[in-house]
Amino acid sequence: MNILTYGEIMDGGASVFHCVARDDAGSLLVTFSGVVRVDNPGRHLAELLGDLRQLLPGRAIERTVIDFTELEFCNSNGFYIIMDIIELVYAAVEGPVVVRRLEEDDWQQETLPILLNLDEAAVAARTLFEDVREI
Amino acid sequence: MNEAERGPGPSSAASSSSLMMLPVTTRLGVSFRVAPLGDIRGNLATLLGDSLPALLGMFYPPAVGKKANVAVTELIQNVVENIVDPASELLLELHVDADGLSVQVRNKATLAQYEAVRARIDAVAGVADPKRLLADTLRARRADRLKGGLGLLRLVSENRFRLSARYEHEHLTVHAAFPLRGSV
Repeated sequence: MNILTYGEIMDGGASVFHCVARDDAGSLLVTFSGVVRVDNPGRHLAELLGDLRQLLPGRAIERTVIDFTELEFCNSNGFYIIMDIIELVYAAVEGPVVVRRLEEDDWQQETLPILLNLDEAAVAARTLFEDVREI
Repeated sequence: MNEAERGPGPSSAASSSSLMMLPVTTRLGVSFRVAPLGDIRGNLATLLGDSLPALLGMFYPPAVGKKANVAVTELIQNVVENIVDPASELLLELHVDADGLSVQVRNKATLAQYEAVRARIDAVAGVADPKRLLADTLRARRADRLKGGLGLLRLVSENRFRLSARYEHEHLTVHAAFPLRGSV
């Protein structure tokens, strides 16, 4: 499994959030972990977006997994950057997208589908949710 | 005193199953105040919100702590981003009992700030589908990265809080309430 790129948010001198994109023999795995609470997360993740824009188009990806199960918290400041990353991934790769999310998390169950833009038929048709129970 | 009270009914689908895991018998109250607000360094909303899942998790199902975390984070963040008087005080009151979870934040504010908050609360209360409103609001504001009101909207559409706001003696109080009775 190759790490294509990653983005990180530092807050108070500590690393609090990671987004990592990996390529594994035709499968793309994008994981979100940690917490998004800083005032302007887009500033921290601009380089990640640039990398994804450059690396993903034209890549032979048959299946994509976007994993939110390690994302512990996202405040409303983080909504736009999550939308940016998701939108970029959906636009750059073809094929089905499995979205792994926590079964008992209001944000991941209620708001994440909005950020995914499931109202758009083309997005909804490609998206399959995998609900994961938190241990 | 002016008051606006809005919000949909009981628990969301996501959290209802864990809210039914345990009976709520413990009464818990937390009060936090800080002044002057100009002394705040770092991310106060994070520090307060982050502490709640572990604290409330001692007594209640995890969903209660998660909801408290979201409410405290969004409400405190609103205060810190809109300080009108750096010498003034912030008061946070959190209560949980068998009836519900209650989060109240009070700070000095202008009448215009109160009216803006009340307009947002009224707006979310006036729609049949708060999630649709959140989706439309995000789309409309995304290009300019406008944030105002997203936190309050989220508390209703995502977490099923009832919101109210009042204005007394130059102070704005925002109250978020989530009913637990009937869920446990």
